Amino acid sequence: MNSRERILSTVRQNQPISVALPLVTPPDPVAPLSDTFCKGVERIGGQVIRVQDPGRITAYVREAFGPEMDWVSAVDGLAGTRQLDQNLHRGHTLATVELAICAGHFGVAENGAIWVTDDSLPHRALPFLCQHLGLVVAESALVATMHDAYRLLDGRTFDYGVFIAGPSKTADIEQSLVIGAHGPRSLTVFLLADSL
Amino acid sequence: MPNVVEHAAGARQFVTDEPRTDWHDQTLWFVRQKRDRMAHSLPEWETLRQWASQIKDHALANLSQYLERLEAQVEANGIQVHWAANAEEHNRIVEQIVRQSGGPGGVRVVKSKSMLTEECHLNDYLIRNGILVVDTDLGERIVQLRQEAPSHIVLPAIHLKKTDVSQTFARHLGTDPTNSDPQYLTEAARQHLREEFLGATVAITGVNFAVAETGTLVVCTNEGNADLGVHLADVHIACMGIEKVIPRQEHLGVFLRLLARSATGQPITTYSSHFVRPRPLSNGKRQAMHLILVDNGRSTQLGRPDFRNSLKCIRCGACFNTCPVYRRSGGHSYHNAVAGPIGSILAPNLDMKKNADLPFASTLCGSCANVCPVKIDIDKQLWLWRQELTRQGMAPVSKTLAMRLMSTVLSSPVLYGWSGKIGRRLMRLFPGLVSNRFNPWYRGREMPQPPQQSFGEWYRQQPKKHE
Repeated sequence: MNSRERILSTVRQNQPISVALPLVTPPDPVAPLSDTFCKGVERIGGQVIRVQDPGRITAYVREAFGPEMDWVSAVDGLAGTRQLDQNLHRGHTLATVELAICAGHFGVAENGAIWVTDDSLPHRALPFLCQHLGLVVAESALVATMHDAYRLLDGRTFDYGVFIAGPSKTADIEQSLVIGAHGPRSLTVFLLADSL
Repeated sequence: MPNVVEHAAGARQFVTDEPRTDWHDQTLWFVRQKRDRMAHSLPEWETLRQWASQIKDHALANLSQYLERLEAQVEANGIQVHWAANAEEHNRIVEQIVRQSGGPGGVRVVKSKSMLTEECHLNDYLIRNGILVVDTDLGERIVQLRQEAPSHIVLPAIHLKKTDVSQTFARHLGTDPTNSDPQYLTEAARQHLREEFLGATVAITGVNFAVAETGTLVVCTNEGNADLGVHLADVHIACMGIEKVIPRQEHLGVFLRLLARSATGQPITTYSSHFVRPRPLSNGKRQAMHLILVDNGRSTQLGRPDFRNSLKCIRCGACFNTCPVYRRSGGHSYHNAVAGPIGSILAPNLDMKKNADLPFASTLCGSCANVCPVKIDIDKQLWLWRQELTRQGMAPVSKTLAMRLMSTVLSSPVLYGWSGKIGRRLMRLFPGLVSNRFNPWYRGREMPQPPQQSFGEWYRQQPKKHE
């Protein structure tokens, strides 16, 4: 008998009588989602910039990061200063990216997390290797809790997806919080206003 | 295997540095308080715990079916599945995959935090076999450079002060030994580890949750180190204990709401990464991805009705932070990859003799069970392990003898009355007989003034009113 068979047969023999799965129901949202979301992002070290259309982001980047800033965009309708190869097979060249702005599918109000999948990225490493990260998410695409988030994801297929909540951080040295561990040193969330 | 120092001896060593012990105690208590604030901010907290507990109970009761479902789903997603009966087999599988991946430039392995690989002593094994592996979680990298083990499953370097880290980095990374600013030290580690990420050919990660229904492997980090490793390397090896499987994707909503809040008082970790299919490479190929399902005693633990629900653990570390014994004895005193209260009930399952001291490293106050997000009855299991170990003749001798003496005295009223009388008299006449450093009870305690008489004696002298 190989390990697989041995493990499965011991497990089968030892597993107890089954109990039912609980019915998981999301709680009712308490405050307006965008307020909770913005507070959530700020609490985890990110900042929120409300914009009317993606075009405004270019102006903001120039203002906040300086006109010299070399940045890449992975958002439709938004052009960075540096173009990326759409069929990037090795992510290593992304190590020199200062700022990357990527598209988020939706945001979660309770914790400020934003869902990003690789089908909207030139490479999976981009939101991790860049020095600074911007994520664009529509105000109309906010959900209250993680329960609601997984309801949205139910039935959708993706190869790789990640909830990103704030810039990378660590408190491994004497529990002192340091923003910018291995990943981005800052996170700017561009919250797109609902179209009128 | 080096000689194991018993918990009490390890703890005695730890508390010799009083200011450091106090700092350790207070810092972990602060993390516990952050957890409390998070828990109290959600009115549905107790419901979440109940759901999490039930989902895990259900998953364990149907574990074989869910493992087979996971295997089929993960394979359909293009990931190769391996089964390891024990630590040794796990390590061998990892070694084989690493060796087969070797390109002309040789292999370089980076590893993000995985308690399972600590449990299997994977690093030691790989290094012994000539394969260099670099831990990329900052805390783990610090302890790796110091050739120590992590002392906490979530905060691996919590036993160290920033000056220790500064010394370590000065030696290994060439930083300024007089600078112990955490910001400066973290930046140095960032630069050092970026090179490791960019040069790695193999990335090893743990798995926080594996979804049977979809084959999704979820890994949670704050630093982004798991993703940096995986997305840049040619090969990804994910290692998980078989108890980590959960039935459905929607259940992640429950666990991700509980995990970081319980662990560090964050609403969620910075990155909750969902690996489904390997990364596309050029000409339609994909990154090589492997999942190793490890038993290492878990299937046996499943057959122990009193202890099986310890397998529900999601490794948040909340029981560490709240434990009055852990906070004042440090993780290394537990001489096990997983320390703290949960480690004390997991370890005897792996090696009863070696870990016989651990279930005694507790006051049985029950705080661990109160904070556990999946409602493991840790305190009760500690108590049950004590009974089991005593039955097996593995309890510490001092405890066995004392218990035997006490049981003889307490079961005989005559002997009890007589020894009480003798004891009180001796304590009055010769206080030094008990108040001395050889009496373990006296260390850290004031002995009471012995009363003139026992309650029984006093009661017999009272006028009988109701006759």
